[in-house]
Amino acid sequence: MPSLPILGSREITSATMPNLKPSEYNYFLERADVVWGVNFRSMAFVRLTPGQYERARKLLAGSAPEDEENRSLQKDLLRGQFLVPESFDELDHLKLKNRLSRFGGNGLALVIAPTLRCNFGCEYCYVDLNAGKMSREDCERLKKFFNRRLPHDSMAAIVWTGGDPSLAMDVVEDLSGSFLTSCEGKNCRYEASLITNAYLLDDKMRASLRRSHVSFLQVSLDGSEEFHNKTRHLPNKTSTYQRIMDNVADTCEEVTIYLRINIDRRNQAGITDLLDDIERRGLKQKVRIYFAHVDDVNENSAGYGENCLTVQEYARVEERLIRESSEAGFLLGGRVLTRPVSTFCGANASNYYVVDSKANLLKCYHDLGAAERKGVGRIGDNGEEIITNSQNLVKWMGWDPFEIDECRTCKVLPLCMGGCSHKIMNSGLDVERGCLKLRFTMEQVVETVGLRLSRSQSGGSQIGGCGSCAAAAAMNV
Amino acid sequence: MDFLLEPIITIETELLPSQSDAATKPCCSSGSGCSDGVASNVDTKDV
Repeated sequence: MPSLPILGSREITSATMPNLKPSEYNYFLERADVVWGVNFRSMAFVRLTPGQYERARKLLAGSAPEDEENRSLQKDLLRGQFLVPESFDELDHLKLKNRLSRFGGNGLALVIAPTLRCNFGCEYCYVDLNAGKMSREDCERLKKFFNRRLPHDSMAAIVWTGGDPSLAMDVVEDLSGSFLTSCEGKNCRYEASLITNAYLLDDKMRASLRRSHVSFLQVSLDGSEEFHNKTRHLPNKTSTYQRIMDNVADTCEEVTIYLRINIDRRNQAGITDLLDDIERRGLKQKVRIYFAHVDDVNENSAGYGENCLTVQEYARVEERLIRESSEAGFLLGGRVLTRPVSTFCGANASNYYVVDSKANLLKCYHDLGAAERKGVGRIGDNGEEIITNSQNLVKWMGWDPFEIDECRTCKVLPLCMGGCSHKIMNSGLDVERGCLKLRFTMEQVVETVGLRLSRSQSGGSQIGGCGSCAAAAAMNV
Repeated sequence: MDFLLEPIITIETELLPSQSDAATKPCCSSGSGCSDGVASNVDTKDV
């Protein structure tokens, strides 16, 4: 992919100062004695006194700086990109960044379901589980596909999912060995994560993960032990919580574990009990936690819809939980304030596929198990892509958040690039369904982040540890 | 005006290939859809 010299990197001096305009992505939050400012495109985060803010407002409105103090303030506003050159089209810039990422990426990202079988019987599961383990023939097709599609001197990112991949670790190992050989031959970096319910996460599986170079695990919990066992159980209703937590404790010092805590209308009140239990088990600083919205994403999970919080309800719950767990010292897996991205996810990109256990190619894991209707094709005998549902491929690749007014005018567009296209397309363009939650909790999040960063800058104890640890922790807001 | 976070990107650098999180980060999956998690914590910026 060629580099694009958009603007020169020369420093702007008073002699070369272009006409300026305020960024479309500025957000200022006024409080009694402080004003927080963030630019969601650059992610500059500033603290101003009310007096400075008053002067900044005038500069943003086009006033010329008349003294040294205002010239310095204008320079800072430029540095943070709160002010941008009048001739610079921020939306076009985001569009270009998005398209380069989607169609000019250098590497290969695959989400692979080595099996669609699962040993759990969760009532909200969206996966159509009518398929077994990947056959030897399909494994060979996938190995050839990987080798054909991976460019030299790039990177491969693999996510193992399912079903539950713990039921097919022989397939994971076999494919991983081949992928690693390809990467070595092509001078590529390799990174792999695995999503599992952790019920089978024992010594044998840990050894298999080591051999497969899996660096991260994601393990889901449905809240407190009592609630989790009601919804996330074996098909015969056997409880799973204790065994999962024991396995997590035995594994978390060897592999980084992200505990995904599912939130819905029924379990939100009991999350504190789960956090208390994580702390009691000594895992607070050993695992990373994050909260996730349970959503009825397709017809398989549609019966669960009434238990799901709306996007805005969930956004408020999540903001509170993140703030409380962060203040209590938990390691957060996600960020309160996300960073600018080029794409929301890979579903709309050309070098990304979801591969099911029959070597079918899809663009989104929400469609796993429904490749015939919702996939885009399959992998041929020689590892070639055979596109059988071109209309689906066109739908995914043609989707463009920049054509949606609600996205074009949204302040957090640089952080989400249109959000989850699956949810938006499948809800009849109900954009809110795919939105970044920050859109609805901007005020609370900006204040939380401002206070945390201020505390860390002044060596406050809330974030804890040495200066560099505190800075690192603060950055994770 | 205090910078608590410096700008992550600049107009000049963010479109260079090495700076772009060129496709892509997959979302995660574990029973219910979401837009965060282990998959998006994998550093795929050069993918």
